[in-house]
Amino acid sequence: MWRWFHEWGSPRYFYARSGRLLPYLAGLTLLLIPTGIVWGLLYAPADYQQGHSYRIMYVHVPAAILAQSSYAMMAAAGMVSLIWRLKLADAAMQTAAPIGAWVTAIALITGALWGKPMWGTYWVWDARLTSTLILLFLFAGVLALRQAAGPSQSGGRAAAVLAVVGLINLPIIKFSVDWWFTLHQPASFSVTEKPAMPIEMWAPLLAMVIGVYGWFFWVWLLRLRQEIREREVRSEWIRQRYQNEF
Amino acid sequence: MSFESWGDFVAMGGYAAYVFGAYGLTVAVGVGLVVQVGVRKRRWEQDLRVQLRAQEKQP
Repeated sequence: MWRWFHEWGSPRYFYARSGRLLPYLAGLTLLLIPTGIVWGLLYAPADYQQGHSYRIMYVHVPAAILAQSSYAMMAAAGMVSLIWRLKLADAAMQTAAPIGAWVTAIALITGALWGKPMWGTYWVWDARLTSTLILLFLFAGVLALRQAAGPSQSGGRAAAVLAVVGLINLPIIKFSVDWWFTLHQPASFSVTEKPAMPIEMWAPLLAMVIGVYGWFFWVWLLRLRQEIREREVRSEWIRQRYQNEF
Repeated sequence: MSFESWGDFVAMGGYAAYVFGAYGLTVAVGVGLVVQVGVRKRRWEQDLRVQLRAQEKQP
């Protein structure tokens, strides 16, 4: 177990092995996302209350779910970087931050575009929306702190602390719809209960949710590998890789 | 298919701007982030190539 951890924690080993995953992640993304979009836009039945506007759900809900779990993954990487001082974990945290920020921005904007026709307003300062806005600021804060600190692992410590402390926001987002009065509807998916929607409606949603996870890991890995290349550019193994190619 | 015609689909029950706006933005960001890494990689490789060539010329 520890050997495994140390092997994968080394940028060189990780770089050599992780490249094999890329085609699978790309394939999963390019299969599921177009399927989900066509299915959700064209074939899923219209909602009896919201008409066709509810189709925004197929981009909004996956983005919102991914925004929160990508934050958890970024914070987990930050925690590993704090405890074990792993360069790779620091790079993972740094590269997850901008992706997470974009995903959160999409969740907020698609939510606003759904809110306007349904609630009559793009934005309300209720608990769910406000705590998601704070999530965006947390991503931006981690990103800014990390960028300011330079490429060494120790430079990432302040950003990692912020990422870990910010975890407190995740249960607030999750339970905000139960704790405070809100316009926002409760969760669409639950592990323990059957979905309230008919299968024709939630099947495309499921395709989109799995698809955006594939997309996230794909982009994260692409970015992380580029980050490793840039950070390790002075080391022999990366130069040799390129010396042979050019 | 839950639309009668192509025009019906484009109208999106009166919510076209919101629905297509949301999908358009999401796809643009999704594609954009993938393309961005590719561009960054290519630029970095070009710089490295120049560096490695310069090194080779030096004895």
